[in-house]
Amino acid sequence: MKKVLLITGVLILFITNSLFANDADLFEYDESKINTELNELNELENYVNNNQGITLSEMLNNKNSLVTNMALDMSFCLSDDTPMGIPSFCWGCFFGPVGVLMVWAFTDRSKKQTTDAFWGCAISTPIYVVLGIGGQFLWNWY
Amino acid sequence: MLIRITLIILITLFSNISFSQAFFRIKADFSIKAKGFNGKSQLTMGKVYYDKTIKKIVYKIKYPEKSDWVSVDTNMYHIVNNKVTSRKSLPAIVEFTIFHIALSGNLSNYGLDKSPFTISKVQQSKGMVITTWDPPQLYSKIYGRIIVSNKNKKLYGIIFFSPDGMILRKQFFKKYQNINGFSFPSEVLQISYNESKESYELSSFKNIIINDMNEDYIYDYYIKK
Repeated sequence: MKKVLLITGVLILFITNSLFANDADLFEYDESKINTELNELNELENYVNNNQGITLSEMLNNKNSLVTNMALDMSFCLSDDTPMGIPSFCWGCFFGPVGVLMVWAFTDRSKKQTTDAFWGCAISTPIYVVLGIGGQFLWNWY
Repeated sequence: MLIRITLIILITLFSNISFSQAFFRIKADFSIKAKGFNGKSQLTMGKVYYDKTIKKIVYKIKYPEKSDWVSVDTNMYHIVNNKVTSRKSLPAIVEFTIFHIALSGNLSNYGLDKSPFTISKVQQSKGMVITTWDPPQLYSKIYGRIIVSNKNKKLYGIIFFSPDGMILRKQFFKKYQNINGFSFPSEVLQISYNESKESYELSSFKNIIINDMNEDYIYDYYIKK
């Protein structure tokens, strides 16, 4: 009886330990692999620290091998969010003043985007007017 | 004896209250080294400023190009020469950033105790206390569980899962610094997963200053729209 209890106890301990170990194992990662992946960036960071004020464009202009030999992600300049991902110019172009108003409101009053929408509206309005007059003329003519 | 016990309780209580209220500003030099799924690398360096009463994260970037980034609510503004050049919506609000959570004294569970997530399991293994947080039933098809591990009572790692149980990303909080009683990790490593690919992001913080009373105009950055 004692043996059975002992074996059961050991088994329970083993099972619970292995169950617990599963989640703990998830917190392990290959540090050396990550260090290798980020090694080029560590060198670049040291260079920037030793050359205060230097920028990426200056390094690219000087053909600095630290950046020219690296596959750089240049997406640090964000593009604005626009309503439904449609360019602001098109909103102004197709929806006129309503489109301009929508862009103004949606982009949190972004001057650049609202100006783009305004230009869309300004360029499309004469075209619509000409098309409207031309259409009316053709309608009356026939 | 009773008076002593009462005094000890009162001192502990007041010291806790004062500590939780004491930290409201953080400033640090930071660098973010990132390698994306596409194998492309990016380095961002500068200073970060955050005041938890103002709730604006201000990044004064010196590299790759001199500019400012200001995060307010769910918006991130890119500002060059005092002009907003772009705006982007962010998935998370500033209250769920490491700066706000650390200043609020909730870093040990990453502020999850203030969220609708609930604890479903607590376990101890390999020197860690591992807590599993489940999303509310209503959002279980949008959010997956979150596992948080603590080492020496400090946040060590967080693992975010998708609703179908896939690991989305892991975050590790390393090399804690103690600045006048304020504990903050010098390094935050994020590993993101996309099918069989991994991307890495290592954020480093140094020269951390707490409750800096200078440069008020940066903490409350005026965004000229």
